[in-house]
Amino acid sequence: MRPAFPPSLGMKLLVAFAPERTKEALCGDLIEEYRRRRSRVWFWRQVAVALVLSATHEAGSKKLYTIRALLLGYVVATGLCYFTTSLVALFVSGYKAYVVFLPFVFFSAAASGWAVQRSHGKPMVLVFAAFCIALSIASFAAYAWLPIYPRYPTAANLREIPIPVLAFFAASDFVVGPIGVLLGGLLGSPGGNSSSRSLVC
Amino acid sequence: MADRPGHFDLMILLAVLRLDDDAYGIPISAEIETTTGRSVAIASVYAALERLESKGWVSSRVGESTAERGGRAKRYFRVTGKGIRQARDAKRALVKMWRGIPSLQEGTT
Repeated sequence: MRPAFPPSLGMKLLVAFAPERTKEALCGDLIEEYRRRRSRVWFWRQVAVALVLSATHEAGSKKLYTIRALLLGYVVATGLCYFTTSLVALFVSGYKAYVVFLPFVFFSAAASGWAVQRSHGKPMVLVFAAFCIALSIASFAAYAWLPIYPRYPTAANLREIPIPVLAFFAASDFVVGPIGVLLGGLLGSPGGNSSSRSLVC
Repeated sequence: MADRPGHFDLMILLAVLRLDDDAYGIPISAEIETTTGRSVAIASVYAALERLESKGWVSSRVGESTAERGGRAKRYFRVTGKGIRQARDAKRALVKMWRGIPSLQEGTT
């Protein structure tokens, strides 16, 4: 038997976002199987499937509630992101501004995750994070095929956007944003800390 | 139209029946993997079992929690009489559909 516990972030995500009724059994099964013979890759794949299934089930069963949560999250995230990055842009210029923007993007995403968690509950945070990723994929696809990039009027499509700008959008849309939303949702969960602590003891 | 088990639901029902008293997430997932060669995520098994339980085709009970599982309890499943009838009906319907199709008979390619 392997003595190690599975990655604690994965367990925290499961404790916070997996369906209430089966989460204890699911967490126990993953710990048991991981300690017996499985790899970290296997464990993260299981976590990803659990989170996707939970988000799909939640969004499918409460459609109007989901739309309301997504709207709230979107308004908070984009509003805060626009405000903070515009403020930063007054003091920092050039490509290095994009590096300074990242913590503010993270803060905005975390605040939106927290707001969604407080107003609509933990499962909706997961749906909102999935929505952010889907929206990012759609935006990248649009930029790739359509000549619609207002700040760079000469850029015909995604290939002509400067690499640092592209890297910033990829990092903020696919990594910093969704992680910020999930961590904000975890911070906003009153019972999350105590239950996840019991897993690692 | 009557509710019928889908392909994955049927596999879950059969795996729970085969495992009898030891039917919880890991063995169910392993049983499907060994029998069909198809890898199944444990979360998918629980999602399907929750759906089947809401239809009354399986029932569950909370089992023991062990240190090996970080103090987390197991959830054992059992197929109900209604679930067994559903599995039988599904088999009957499939066998009926199978009959009389030459390309599906054993020994043909």
